[in-house]
Amino acid sequence: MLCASTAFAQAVTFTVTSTNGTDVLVPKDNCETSRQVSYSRSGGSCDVITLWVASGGSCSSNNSQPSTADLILKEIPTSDTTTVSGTLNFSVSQVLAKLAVPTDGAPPISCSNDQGIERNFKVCATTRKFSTSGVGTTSCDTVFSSIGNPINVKYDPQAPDAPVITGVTPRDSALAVSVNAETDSTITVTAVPQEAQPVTDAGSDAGVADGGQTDGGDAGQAGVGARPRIVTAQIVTAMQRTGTKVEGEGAVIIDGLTNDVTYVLTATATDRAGNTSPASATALGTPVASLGLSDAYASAGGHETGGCGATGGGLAGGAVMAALGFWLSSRRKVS
Amino acid sequence: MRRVLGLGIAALLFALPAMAQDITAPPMRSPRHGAVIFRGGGYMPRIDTEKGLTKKPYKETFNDASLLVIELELQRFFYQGIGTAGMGLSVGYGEKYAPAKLDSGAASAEKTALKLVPLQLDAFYKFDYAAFEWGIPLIPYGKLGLVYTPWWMTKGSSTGLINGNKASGGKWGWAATGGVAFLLDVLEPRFARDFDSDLGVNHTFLFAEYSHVEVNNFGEAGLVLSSRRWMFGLGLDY
Repeated sequence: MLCASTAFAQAVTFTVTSTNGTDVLVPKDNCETSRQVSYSRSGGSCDVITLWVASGGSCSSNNSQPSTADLILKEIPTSDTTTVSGTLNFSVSQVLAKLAVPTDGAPPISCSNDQGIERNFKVCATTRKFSTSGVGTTSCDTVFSSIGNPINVKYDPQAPDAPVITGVTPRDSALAVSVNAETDSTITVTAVPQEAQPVTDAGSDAGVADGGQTDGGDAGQAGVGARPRIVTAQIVTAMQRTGTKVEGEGAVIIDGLTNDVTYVLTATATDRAGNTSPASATALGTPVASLGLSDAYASAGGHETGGCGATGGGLAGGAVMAALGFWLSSRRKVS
Repeated sequence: MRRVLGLGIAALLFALPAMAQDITAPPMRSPRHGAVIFRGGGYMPRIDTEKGLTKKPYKETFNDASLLVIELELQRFFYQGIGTAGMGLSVGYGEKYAPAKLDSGAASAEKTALKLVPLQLDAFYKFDYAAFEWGIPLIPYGKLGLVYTPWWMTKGSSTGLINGNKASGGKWGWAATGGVAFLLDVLEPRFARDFDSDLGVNHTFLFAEYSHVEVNNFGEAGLVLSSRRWMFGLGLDY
């Protein structure tokens, strides 16, 4: 009876390699990229197990059975007791292709015609479960139900709005750039020396704001031929610096800059799905040398050397103190 | 006015023995093992007293303002008779920020900071016999300790440099402290007894203490983090 109970407990477990837990985020650029979801199953099977992508975002719609608008990935027949795990491959473009053709004569929904709408899908496993009657006889449920832990697939075709540089604070050989951007986005700021700005074609807008930087881009993307108006592309690549805003910090810090050189700053934002925004309007910043306490101390002729040699055996001493502290706090109470 | 003040003091002195009855004869006091102490205060490191300095970098940067330091100390009692003696270990943190200076001497938009983590292992004695036996709620005490203070200086969001090395390190030293604690039990004796029976906290006290701290690797050349400072705080005997 126990063995039978185990066999009745049908379950499908989906796993996916994702940086967002059980969510798969798909940016517009990866609409046609194949995604892989692994599955494993346990227990017996009362009916065909259907593994599918619910385009409506729910495994229980249409009585837990795929409709014509859903993408069927695999069907495991009742007689198949050997297939206990495997992988499923699909792309968002395949899911979009199953969606109903608009009745207003508009072209079918696809990666290139996604209507700019964020869509949520689910990878589901459904079948008819075993049921046991009061007299101990076993039969199949009349209705289908979900037996898996659905994976969420979120297609996000919307790039974030262009960020806004709200302030630039000069630092010693660095700039702190305050940027307003969409929540949860990663901000990248690129700094290019003003004199190294790409030359614009005659007749185009003058100034650095349109200097070929409007496609944003990080260091790895800059000046690789995609900007026909950049004359000194390789020089720009070598001289520009980027900084990424770290969560918890108030500003993007770009270091390694040269003091008293004016830099043109451009920011882009990349959302969690990976969509990159248009570049922000440019801003200017000039790092300036400054004297902190350590500089003031050194210039006053202080004898401190700093660095590892200045710890005065601190690791050993700290360990001794920690040991004593532990002993003090853990010493057995004596009344 | 003087008469009113005199009457007030007289009333307080007469009241103390009555209060003492409450704290000297508590029913079922739990045993005392140690104390947990929280304190805070200003810490002005005597960086500018280093021999050979041609300027006063601390004053120029922070205008001789003190760091705000907070500390936690754990004490263990090893002797309880005529007073209490034991050992304590404290850890603290202090920092001070100010704008860095431009070459012109004007304030930069960039901040510079000094940060310290004072660690101290000390032996102490407190004369609490009078408080517990005679009902005088003031406890004088003294401490002598070994100090180790990790330090670092920052500019912007990174550690600064001294002669090409990171502006960080640790300094050894010693400290002597004297202070006086005021036993709060006298204010609410019944609450104090409940605090003991419910949580095992025998006594609570406020205190003020003065420390003479020499943190300069026992006289070696280099950064001087010595200080003379007042600290104030709250202690719990358990």
